[in-house]
Amino acid sequence: MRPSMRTILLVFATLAFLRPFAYAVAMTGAPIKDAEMKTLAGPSEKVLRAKAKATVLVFFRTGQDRSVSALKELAKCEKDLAGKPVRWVALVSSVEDTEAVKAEVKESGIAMPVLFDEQDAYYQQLEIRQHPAIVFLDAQWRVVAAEGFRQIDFCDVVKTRVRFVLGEATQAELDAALNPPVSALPGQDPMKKAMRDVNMARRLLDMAVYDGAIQACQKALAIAPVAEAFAVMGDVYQKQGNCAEARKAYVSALKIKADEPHALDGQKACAGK
Amino acid sequence: MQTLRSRRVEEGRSSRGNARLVMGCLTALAVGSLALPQQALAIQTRYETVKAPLRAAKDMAPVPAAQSKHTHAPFQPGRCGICHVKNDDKNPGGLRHASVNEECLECHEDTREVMSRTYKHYPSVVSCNYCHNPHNSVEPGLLLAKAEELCWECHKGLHKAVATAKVKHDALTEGKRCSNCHNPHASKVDRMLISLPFDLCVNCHSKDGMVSSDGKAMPNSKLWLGQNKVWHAPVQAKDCSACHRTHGGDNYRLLVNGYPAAFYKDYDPKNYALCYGCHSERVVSEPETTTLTGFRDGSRNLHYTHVHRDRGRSCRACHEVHAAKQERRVRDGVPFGSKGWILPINFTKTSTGGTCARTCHDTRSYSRTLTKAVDAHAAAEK
Repeated sequence: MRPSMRTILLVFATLAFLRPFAYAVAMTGAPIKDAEMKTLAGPSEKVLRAKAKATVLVFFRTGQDRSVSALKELAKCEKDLAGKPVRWVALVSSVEDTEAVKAEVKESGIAMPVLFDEQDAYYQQLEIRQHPAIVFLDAQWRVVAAEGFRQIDFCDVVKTRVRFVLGEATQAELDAALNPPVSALPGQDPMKKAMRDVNMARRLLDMAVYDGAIQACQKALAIAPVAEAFAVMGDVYQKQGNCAEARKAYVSALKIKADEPHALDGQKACAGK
Repeated sequence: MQTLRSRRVEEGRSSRGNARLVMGCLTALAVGSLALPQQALAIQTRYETVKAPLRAAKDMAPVPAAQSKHTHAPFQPGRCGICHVKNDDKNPGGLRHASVNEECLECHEDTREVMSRTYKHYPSVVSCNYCHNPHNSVEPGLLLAKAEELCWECHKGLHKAVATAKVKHDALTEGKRCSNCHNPHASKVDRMLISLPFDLCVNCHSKDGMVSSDGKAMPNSKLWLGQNKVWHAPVQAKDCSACHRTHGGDNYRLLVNGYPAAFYKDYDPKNYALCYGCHSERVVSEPETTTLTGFRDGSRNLHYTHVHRDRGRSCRACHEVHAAKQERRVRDGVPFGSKGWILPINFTKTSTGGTCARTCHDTRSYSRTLTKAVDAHAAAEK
């Protein structure tokens, strides 16, 4: 296969794995245009700010549950990110009823200015097709991401996206916000589950319930090969004056975990005995 | 629930052999629990939720040995001192630690790690005793009652909604029930979810031959999403609950709002309440537009033409709801007849519009750059 053909195939293969952008299709990498709009407060205002390192455009509409929920959550995000060079702007269609907009904005608690998008021109420029839509711009006013409202972790995602644009969050942090790791129930990891019995064994050792401590260690080892279980067994044998058995247990512990502190201490204590 | 616990208490009382041991332990546990500051964790849910009172000491009574199916390892004669200040079955005294939770976490260090997660369940922060019996139990996990009964004790509004839902979700009645999706201790995901809704849903909806509660076949969602890479925005955001009421609901397929199950439907905004939850109704209701949709011939809104009429085409006539191979999730074909035939639409996108091949109608093209004056369709209709 010729190298050029290989390159073409590689590009197609890569494109096949990329998911199209659903909210704002116009992610060309070119800066979006600024505009001046009427505000809910009265005087007209430009949408964008030259000094902003990040911009969050919030397109919403009235009488829609998801817009109400998004605005309420965004009020929290705004507060959490107060003081950062972020331009927050809420945009609503010019055909919306001003009083209805006022009421929803008041209820939500957002502090950002609310601008009336004349005949949805800005909305159309970004090729958005639904509400609410939260569009993130970088310092050069380029669209870097867009979000709808999500019922789970919405504010976390918004804040992490803003912090990412500001250079305060890493790609790994953004990925973790978008795809949080599984929050498993306790006891799912056998190594950690086995440590419960090891901890109980230590307590039984303190109580001088030696048989019980050994049983607990054996139970732990039946769940997972934890070095700590052998170390506690060694301590029990040592306490009983049986350094021969203790040494065997410490060796087993150190085979699993070379720096197991109890096993190292125990070996020293049993040295020469 | 209350009856169950009361019954256990009665049975506990009748077991004289355990009585002294029990009372000593229980007093200590209750004191330990109450010593904790009541942490004011907000309960945010759409359903009524009440904070159940802390368990009384008597609720921690061991189940009589003959009935107990699960015993906590330290609950053995001569081992009370693992948790209590005295290793005396008859008079164990108080707990060794200042709180119940600290006592439990001394051994259950994995739970300490779990409890460091962002979203914490109120009862598990206050006291493990809210849900667990520290001695023994009929239920797995030393739970004081069946897991879902414990949940319903506080989540009363949700219980009512689940009980009265016309369309049920098997996830609530099978397997681990509530714990299929929620971690009752703490989570890194909001609403105590084990992972994002999509990951939880696809975990089950990845089999062929699944049937909904009304007996209708359900698609293998994982397979479909794997084969069709243009995903609907809520699917991309892993937010299945944007459209589906996961605890049960009144609409077909657990949809949060109205959506026609049929191909044809007389136009009424109520029929499309689900879609209008995000998309503007004006996309369909405005006959002319140059901003609301790209599916227009000049300014003639073709969504209006197709949908806004008697026996209009429903959204599903042209769009797949979860995923498709084409942009805007335009379907490959439309269903025809009762035998599951699919007639290909052969939609072709152009730089200014597109073409649909002869299926529902003769081959037709549209272009957004046309003006009304030269609108071919308008001219043809005249």
